[in-house]
Amino acid sequence: MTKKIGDKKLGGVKSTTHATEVDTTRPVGSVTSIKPAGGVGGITGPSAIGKRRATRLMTLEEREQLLQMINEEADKMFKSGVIPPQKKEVVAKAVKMAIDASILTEKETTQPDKEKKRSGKDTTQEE
Amino acid sequence: MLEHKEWAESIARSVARAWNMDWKLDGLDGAALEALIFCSRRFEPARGIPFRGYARKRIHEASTEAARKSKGWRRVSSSASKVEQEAREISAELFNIFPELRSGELPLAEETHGDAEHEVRTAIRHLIVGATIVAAKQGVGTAPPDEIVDYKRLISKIAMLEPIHQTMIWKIYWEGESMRTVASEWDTDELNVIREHKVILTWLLKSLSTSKEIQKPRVRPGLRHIALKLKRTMTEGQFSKFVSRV
Repeated sequence: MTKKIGDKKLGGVKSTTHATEVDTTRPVGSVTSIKPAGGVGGITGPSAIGKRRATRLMTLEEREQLLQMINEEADKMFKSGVIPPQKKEVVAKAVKMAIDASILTEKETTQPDKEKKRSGKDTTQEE
Repeated sequence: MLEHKEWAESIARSVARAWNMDWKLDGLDGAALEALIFCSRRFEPARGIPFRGYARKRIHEASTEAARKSKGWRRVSSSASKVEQEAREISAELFNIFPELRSGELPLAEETHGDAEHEVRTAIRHLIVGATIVAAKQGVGTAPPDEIVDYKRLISKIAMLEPIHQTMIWKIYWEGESMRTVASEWDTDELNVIREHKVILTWLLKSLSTSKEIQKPRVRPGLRHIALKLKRTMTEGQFSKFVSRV
């Protein structure tokens, strides 16, 4: 039989003595062991997904190699009909120019921002 | 600022080297230094971006702009070959289409799969397709009939794309808008436009190199709302209209 709320009136808190009785603490002994990662399904391995790329500057050392690659790729694309025959030379030259203009004439070995941070100097105030 | 002076000059020299110009006579040195001063005044170290990372694009842009306005640029029409002149014009436009170049980087895919050479070659192929589209834009109307046929083939392929993809190519290549401008017009992230552009170039590359029909690229989720809007307002894409007219 369920008691109705109205059956017995709450007459206030009689005593607080029960609160002083704290049960003894027991060690937590029922933690389940960690399952091996292999059991987790649905996560693709690192080889299957692309990793975010870090930015990389083109260097003076690879300039010749890049220009050579442009020739090779332009030849392939010309043969497969991607580039119109009359435009092969112009298109390849334009891409070479764009890449060449993006590679600095000197080695980019000095990076004052990073170097000074490493040596403890505050570069930001100098800018 | 002085410690970056040589570096800024090196940017101007690389632009002059590529375009076969004189970096001092053609005023690239002054433009680069002006841009360096401008950047050093506006640079906010609190943003945590290294100064050179912040300034390189601007110095490069100032150098290329100075080159294009110089007498040396105009001089080319008489002294250098037509190919050289045309190539200069196309390469100058490539900097707006692939802004990573101004920072000294190849327009590689966002994600890496481990084969560095393959990734570099893919970026080069994208640049070549981009340059071919620029050449088509510059050539349509002025090219002799045999060249027009080749351009028509390329443009017909672009006309097969979804209206949003056609609009993207139109805005970037024909109207010279930057990807950032396109993204802000469409109220979307710039990365959506940059990535979609690369997808379109990859499709064009495949599609042009085979006679088979290649499934056209799907619109990425970040651009679908724009695609729907465009479909409601446009009956056909800019290139579809162009092809039906020719």
